[in-house]
Amino acid sequence: MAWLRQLCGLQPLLKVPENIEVSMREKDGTRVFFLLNHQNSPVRIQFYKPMHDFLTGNTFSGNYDLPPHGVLVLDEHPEIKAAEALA
Amino acid sequence: MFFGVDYYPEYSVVPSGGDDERLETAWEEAWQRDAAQMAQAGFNVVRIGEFSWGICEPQEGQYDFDWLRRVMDIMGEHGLQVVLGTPTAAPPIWLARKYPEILPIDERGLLKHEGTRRAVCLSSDVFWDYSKRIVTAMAQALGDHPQLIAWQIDNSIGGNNTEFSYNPATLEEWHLWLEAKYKTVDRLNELLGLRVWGQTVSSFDEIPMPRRSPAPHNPALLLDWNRFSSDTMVQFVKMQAEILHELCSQPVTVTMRAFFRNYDHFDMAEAVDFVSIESNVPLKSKVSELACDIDMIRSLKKSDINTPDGDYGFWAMEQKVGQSDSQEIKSAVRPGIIRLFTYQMIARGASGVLYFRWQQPRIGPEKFNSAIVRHQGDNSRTLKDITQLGEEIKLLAPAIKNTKVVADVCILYTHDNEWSLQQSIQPSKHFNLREHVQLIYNALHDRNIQVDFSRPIDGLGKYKIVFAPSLQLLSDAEVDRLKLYVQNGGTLVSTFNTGLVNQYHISPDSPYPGNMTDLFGLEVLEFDPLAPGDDNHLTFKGTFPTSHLHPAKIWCDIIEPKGCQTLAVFAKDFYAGRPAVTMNSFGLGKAIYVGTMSPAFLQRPRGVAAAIVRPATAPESA
Repeated sequence: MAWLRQLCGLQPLLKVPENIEVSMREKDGTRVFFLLNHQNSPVRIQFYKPMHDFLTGNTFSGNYDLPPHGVLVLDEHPEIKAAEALA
Repeated sequence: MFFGVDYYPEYSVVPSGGDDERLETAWEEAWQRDAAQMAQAGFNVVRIGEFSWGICEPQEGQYDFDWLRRVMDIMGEHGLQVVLGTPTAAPPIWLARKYPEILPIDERGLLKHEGTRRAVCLSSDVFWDYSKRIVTAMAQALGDHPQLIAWQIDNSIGGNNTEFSYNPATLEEWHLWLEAKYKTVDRLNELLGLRVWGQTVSSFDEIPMPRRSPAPHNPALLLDWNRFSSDTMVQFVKMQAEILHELCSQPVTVTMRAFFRNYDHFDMAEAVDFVSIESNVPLKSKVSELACDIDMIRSLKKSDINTPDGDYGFWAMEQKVGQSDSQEIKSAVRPGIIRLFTYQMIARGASGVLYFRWQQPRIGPEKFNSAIVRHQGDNSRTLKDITQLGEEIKLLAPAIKNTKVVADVCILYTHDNEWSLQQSIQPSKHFNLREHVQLIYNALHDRNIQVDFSRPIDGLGKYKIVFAPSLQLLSDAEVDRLKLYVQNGGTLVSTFNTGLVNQYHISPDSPYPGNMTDLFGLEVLEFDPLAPGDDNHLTFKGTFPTSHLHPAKIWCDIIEPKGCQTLAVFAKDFYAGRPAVTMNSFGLGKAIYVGTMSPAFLQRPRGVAAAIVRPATAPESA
């Protein structure tokens, strides 16, 4: 797939650990990311830049352990590309 | 964002057994209590009515919609909107007693009797007539109710294995359908290939329905039978949509499972204003299979969507919250799972989610089926979880209003092809289209790449890459569209079992894939389907050491290159060294052909990337 992706200029939505399902809904440049942990154990996600979560109202930065079956609904800070903020 | 539940006010059990003078008060109390609890859970919509024909019309022509209007009033008092189901999925007993000819006959000629839902042949004029009457009466009685925001037509059409019936009325319509399509008996004989076994006919009336027979029916006839039966179901829904559009202002929908029933889901989606999914149980299914189902349903209607609040997307009209009757063992749903899969549904584009159902009924066969509240009406674990979720969704709703899922990648799927592959005589009976589609889908899903599904005849130009898994049946028009897509710069990935028959189920008189040897720059000379457990292997050219084996399963095409570039070859058997994965430049685009089932070509053959990917288009930031 890497070669096909490169061939077609496709990028994954976000770089996240395995077993995290990511989907995105968008409107006029606004992008809302959904991160779903399908594992029965926590998964560590690294935020390089602060990200806002709609469900808790929290802003996350640094390491965050997404709980088992946990969900994040994140929005992009205007100046921060989410792809850069997460790895 | 709509968040709600499927509600069956008519299944409430009142303690008096019907003798109580205060019966009406007892019903009202039950509905009031339920509505208050539903509002407290954060719900803003209920779906009701879809199995209530026999209650709304207990005897022919005697309509009683007052109780439903009262239920809708009570919902309104608690701030709940209403989706009303037309009740044609469950015709009343009196109708079958009066007109036994509406009861469906199966392919063995056996009658299916009255006494349950769906005991009906959709080719019956009598049934259509009575359906029109009940839908019209319901629309006239309730269409102006302020709580009503949408109509659901029928319920799970084709369910309970009722896609096909073999009644005298069906036969009559079948003949008319064929006559409209083929015009003359000569064309019919020729295009259906009826000379095989000398089964030609001298009039349209002689064409049989594909009933139980000693040998397989003609595949072209079976394919048309699928199309005819699909058209019958779609037309039944369209008939109701027309009545409702004429009498009411609310949008209409149907509930579907992802490519599960034997009708053309794209055609069905065209008949309604927005589509709805009946979700599978989020218990044992794999995450990517559920995601694939959701993406399939979302893809059925990509434009001209008219939802109750003007939002994009689709609705989950029946999101299961618990044990399903399709399970042999109804294990409890684990904490956190309902929330997780509700968000999966929203994440992939749902603008309405309704759970199935409010309370487990104390009566009837679905006593132990999925529900939020248990028989005893206690404050269940599920209700607590959903109430919490309701709070979250209120916070989230403004942020996702009018947003939609956008995909750069598309997987092609047609029902004609599915029906061709379902037929009993195949190069391999071990090939399963859904498994093959899922293999490709998983590779994309694992990398969090969003996917649409489309038909070849839909606009493909916006997609960076189009996967066309095993389109065994491709019409001439579809082939033209695929070529046009690549010609204009698209990247097409097709796999084995492609282009073996056209829209009449006639095989090409030129090499496979039919009319596409120029597109792919190759000819498929033969195919070698493999037994389960057997495999060949792929060797990627100039990349991995030969010890690094990539399994090739199910099917191997024996390919003669005609100008294509070979990316991988088969490792063994008499076609060792022959191409297995190829790429061809065609117009401004590229056509990739994968002559076997293997996840390997989707993985990371770095060397292949280096070999074929000259400065690719600059990756867009995502």
